[in-house]
Amino acid sequence: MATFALMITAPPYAAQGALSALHFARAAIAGGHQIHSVFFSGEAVAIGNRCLQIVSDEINLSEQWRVLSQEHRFELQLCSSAAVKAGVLDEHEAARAGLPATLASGFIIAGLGSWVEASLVAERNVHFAGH
Amino acid sequence: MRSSPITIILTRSPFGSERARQGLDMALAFAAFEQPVTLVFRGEALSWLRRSHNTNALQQKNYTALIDELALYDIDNILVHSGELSGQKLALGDLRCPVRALTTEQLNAAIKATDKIWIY
Repeated sequence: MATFALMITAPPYAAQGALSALHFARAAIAGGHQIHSVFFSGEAVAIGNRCLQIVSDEINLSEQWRVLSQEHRFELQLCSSAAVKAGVLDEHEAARAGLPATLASGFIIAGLGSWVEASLVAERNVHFAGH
Repeated sequence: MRSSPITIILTRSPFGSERARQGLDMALAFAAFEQPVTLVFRGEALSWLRRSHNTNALQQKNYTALIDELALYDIDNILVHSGELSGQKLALGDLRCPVRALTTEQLNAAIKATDKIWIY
């Protein structure tokens, strides 16, 4: 049994990284391993935008990740600087900018330090870089 | 927090994409947590180390200023491939910070001495 910390930097639909990571996470769990946490950075943070409108016959990655993370108790972390740049704002940042909050439920904003800690605590790290 | 030496290999130039900047942010973050970082510049990423960037005409921030922060974070194990350096007609004295130019075998050995490798 191993613990995995995943980093995803691929944009959720324009490249395959977030989908591959989802399949990887499910396979790891089915194999008796644990997901410590998942860190989304760069273009990947768009997955945490609650305003994304997904066509009904396409997989809803935000929802799939949210369900998996809640069932298996791991955090979905969005890099704070990348999130602000991409307009994914929690209540605090939204208030600062005078804009509506756009953070999707099930995702949290975290600093890069959270990734450093996760990568040191988990036995294995995998980076889904996408394109 | 335990100490685990990592290698970060940068392969992209400063301005075409954010990929190398992501790698540099990672390097600084790990160094801030006092993790030993080996930073490698390969191929077009060697451009980061040139002194001559003037981004005024581009109206773009000069991201290469990040290189000046490496020493502040005690990132001093900065490696390049000697063949790539000469291939781009660069000498060590042309570069923005002190680096070690290694052969393929030496580079492999240095990377193998770390626990994890991140490629940007």
